Amino acid sequence: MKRVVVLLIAALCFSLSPVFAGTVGMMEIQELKPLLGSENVVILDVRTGRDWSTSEFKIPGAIRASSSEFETWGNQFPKDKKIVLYCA
Amino acid sequence: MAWPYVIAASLSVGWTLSPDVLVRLGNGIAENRTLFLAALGFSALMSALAVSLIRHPELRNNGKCSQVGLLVQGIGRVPAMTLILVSRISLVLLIPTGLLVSAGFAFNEIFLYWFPNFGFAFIVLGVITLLHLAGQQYARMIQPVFAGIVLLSLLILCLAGIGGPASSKPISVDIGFSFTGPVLTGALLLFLGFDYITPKNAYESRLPAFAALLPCLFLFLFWAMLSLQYVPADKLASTTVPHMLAAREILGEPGRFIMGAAIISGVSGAVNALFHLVIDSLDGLARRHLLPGHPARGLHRRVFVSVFAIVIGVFMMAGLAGHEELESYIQASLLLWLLLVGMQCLAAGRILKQLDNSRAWQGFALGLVYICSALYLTAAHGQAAIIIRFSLIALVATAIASTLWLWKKPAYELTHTNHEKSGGNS
Repeated sequence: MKRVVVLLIAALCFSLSPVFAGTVGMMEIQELKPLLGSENVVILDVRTGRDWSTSEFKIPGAIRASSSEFETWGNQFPKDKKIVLYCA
Repeated sequence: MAWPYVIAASLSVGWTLSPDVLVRLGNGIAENRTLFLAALGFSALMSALAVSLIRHPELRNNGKCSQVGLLVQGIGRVPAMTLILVSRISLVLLIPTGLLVSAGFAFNEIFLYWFPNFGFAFIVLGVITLLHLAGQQYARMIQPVFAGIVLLSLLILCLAGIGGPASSKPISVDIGFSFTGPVLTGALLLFLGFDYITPKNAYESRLPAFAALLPCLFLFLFWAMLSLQYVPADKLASTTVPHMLAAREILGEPGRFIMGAAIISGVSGAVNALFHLVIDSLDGLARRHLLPGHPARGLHRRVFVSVFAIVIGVFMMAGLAGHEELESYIQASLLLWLLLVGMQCLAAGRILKQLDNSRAWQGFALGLVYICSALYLTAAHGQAAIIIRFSLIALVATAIASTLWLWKKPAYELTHTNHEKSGGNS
């Protein structure tokens, strides 16, 4: 019984973890539109596979970046610019 | 009386009218221009020859009216079991996983922004599964509707394109030759599915396949040329949605809606046809006691349909469609299908030779072309290692399982005496 309770608490903590995670700013399409083409904004299209290939909507100038290479992003993209991730 | 023909024809074009084929078509014409049109014609001709051979009247008795019978008698039980199981099961699990996601995105991006794409993909999968669970006849009857919507949509767009501005001032005027071996050979993959033999061959079974093949070829030729006229060639070659670009350029927003309907119907038709194709193939194996673990009688269709639907659902939930590897697995399953058609041609050639039929050489020649093409496309693919590894593991594992099954539960195939080998019209 004790083990079940521990497991339940662990599952609850795990499911709530995103709530306590660091906040990531969200951006509406209308907010991004005027920034398109700006030198201070880097748009990363992080969709992969068919999520990307079958989509009709691809932001002009967006760079495809794989989340599996997240560690290398620091060296790849300028830190002084606004980085926008497009995932859906 | 014509309805069975229509159903058989629409099942044959299930894969050919899918959005994946439209992508290959758009990219192919942009990369190879006029030469690609010739490749389309050649591939359609190859498919027609293969169909006429696999469904040769003299094979009806000797091949026992089915793909399984043809392969078992032509190449032996273990190779037949292995090839059928691997090619069919990989097809039904992998291609729908990719296609359904395409339908989901089309619905979300074209019709309803707020509707989740995965939700729609699951709805399509659920509807097709329910149709099969309700009864095979319902799943068959809906197929002409799916194929009809795709054909009608493409026809409307073609007619609009012919009368449009780019027909007099084409955007891509360079229609010269450009040779890309894998793309040209890959045109063979566009016309797969015509080897599907409807279970009840009470009528001339070649006719529906021919009737479906010719309109598809002409429509593809028109669509390919129009795409090139309306969309710049470099853009058409590099895009992942050439059919959407062409539809948008031809008819604007209504063109997107029409193409959206074609994509969703094409996906539904392809998934439905693949379910039929696989279930019928497995049923053929089960009836001969050649399906490992299954008793020697008709297939538990509902159980298998449910299992396939669950596995596809799990693949989608696990995000397989978001992995680049899925495209390699899909290519592998298509190449295994190509290999299967090649082996069917070889088997047909071998049986026809035993019957002293003059068309036996065609079987060997076609078989050779299909098998060599499958091997060439494998070697030329960017992810050849993944394709080879996947195919080899699946083939070896299935061959071992098939051998063990036959060793444990021997099944005996009746062979025809010389007197019976005269063929027949049953």
